[in-house]
Amino acid sequence: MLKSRDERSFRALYARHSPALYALALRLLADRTHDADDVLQECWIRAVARLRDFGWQSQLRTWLAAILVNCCRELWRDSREELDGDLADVRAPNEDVGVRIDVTTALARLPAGYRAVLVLHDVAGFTHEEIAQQLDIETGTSKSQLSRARRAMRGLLGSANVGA
Amino acid sequence: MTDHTPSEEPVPELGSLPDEVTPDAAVEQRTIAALRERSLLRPQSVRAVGARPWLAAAAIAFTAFLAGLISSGPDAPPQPPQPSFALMLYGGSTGNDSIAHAVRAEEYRRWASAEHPWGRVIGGEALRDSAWTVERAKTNITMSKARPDDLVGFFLVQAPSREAAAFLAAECPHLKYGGRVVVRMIAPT
Repeated sequence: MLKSRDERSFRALYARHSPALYALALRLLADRTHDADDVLQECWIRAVARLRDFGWQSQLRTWLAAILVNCCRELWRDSREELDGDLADVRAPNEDVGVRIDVTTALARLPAGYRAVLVLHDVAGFTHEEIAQQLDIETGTSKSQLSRARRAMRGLLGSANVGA
Repeated sequence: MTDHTPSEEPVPELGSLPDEVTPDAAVEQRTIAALRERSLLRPQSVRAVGARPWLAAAAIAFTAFLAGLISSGPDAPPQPPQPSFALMLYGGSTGNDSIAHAVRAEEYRRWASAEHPWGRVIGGEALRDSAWTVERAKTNITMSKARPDDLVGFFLVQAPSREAAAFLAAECPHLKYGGRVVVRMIAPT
C-alpha cells in the first residue's frame, strides 16, 4: 500500500507525459475528444494505483502508453467497436468524385484493430512484439494488419476503393 | 535496400500528426479529483518536497564552475578506449511516495542519457534495500540476511580520467537529494 502520494509530484508527472499520451489516445480513438479525455483520466488513475509495480525495466512513457492502450481496448469492447472489422468495407466517402480526405478522417475510417496497429507502429513507434502484447494478438497478425492498414490508408487518402 | 512495396512503408501523411496534444486543463482537475476520491493522492503540501534550496543552488553553482573549468581548457583530443568507472550512489533522501520516486527516476534517467563533456554513462541500476550474504562454511553454502547499508544504486560510466569521472559524478542528480557518490575505477579484466 502506498502511504503517501504527493499532488505536486503527480502534477509534474502529468504535465510531462500527458500531451504524448493524449495525442496517442486521440489517434487510437479516431479523434473523439470526449473518449480520449476519459481514457487519459482512467490511464492516470490506474497508473498511480500501480506505480509501485512499475519495475523500471522500460521507459515510464512506454508503461503508461500500455495502460492507455488497454483502456482504449476496453472502450472499444464496451462500445462494440469492430476490432476485426473488414477492410473491404472501408471506402473513401467521396471516392466517386475524387475528393481527398485528411489523414485524421482516414484513420477514423479504419476498423479499430487496424487503426490501433497502424498508430502504435507508425505513429507511436512500438515494435510488433510490443503491439502484439498490448493488443493481445499474434506478432504475425500485427504485421499483416499493419500492411493492410497502410494499404487502406493509401486508398483512403487517394480516394480509392481499398477493399480489393 | 529500398525496394519495398508501398504496404511495407509508412504512409507519409501520418508524419503530419502531432506527437503531442495538450489535453484540456479540466481533464487534469478531473483526474486529480478522481485520484483524491480514491485516496490515491493527497492534497498538495505547502512544504517543498526534496532537496533544500541552498543545497540545490550549491550543486548548480558547483556544476557551473566545473563546466566553466572544463570549457575554458584546451579541446580534449579523442580518447579511445576510455577507462570505466562505477559511480556508487549512497544515502540521500528517498522519494516520499511512488510518484515522487517516479519523478526522481526520470530525472536520473535524463541525466544518464544526456551528453556530458567529460564522459558518458553506459549503464546503471537502482538497488532495493534488502540484501543477503552468501558464504561458504566448509562444505556448506549459507545464506543470511545482510546488514543493510546505504548503497542505493550505481552508474557505470566511461571517462578519460579519474578527474573527468569525478566531474561527471558532480552533475549526478543524486547529490541534489542529499546523497553522496563514490567513484571507483573498474579494474580491467
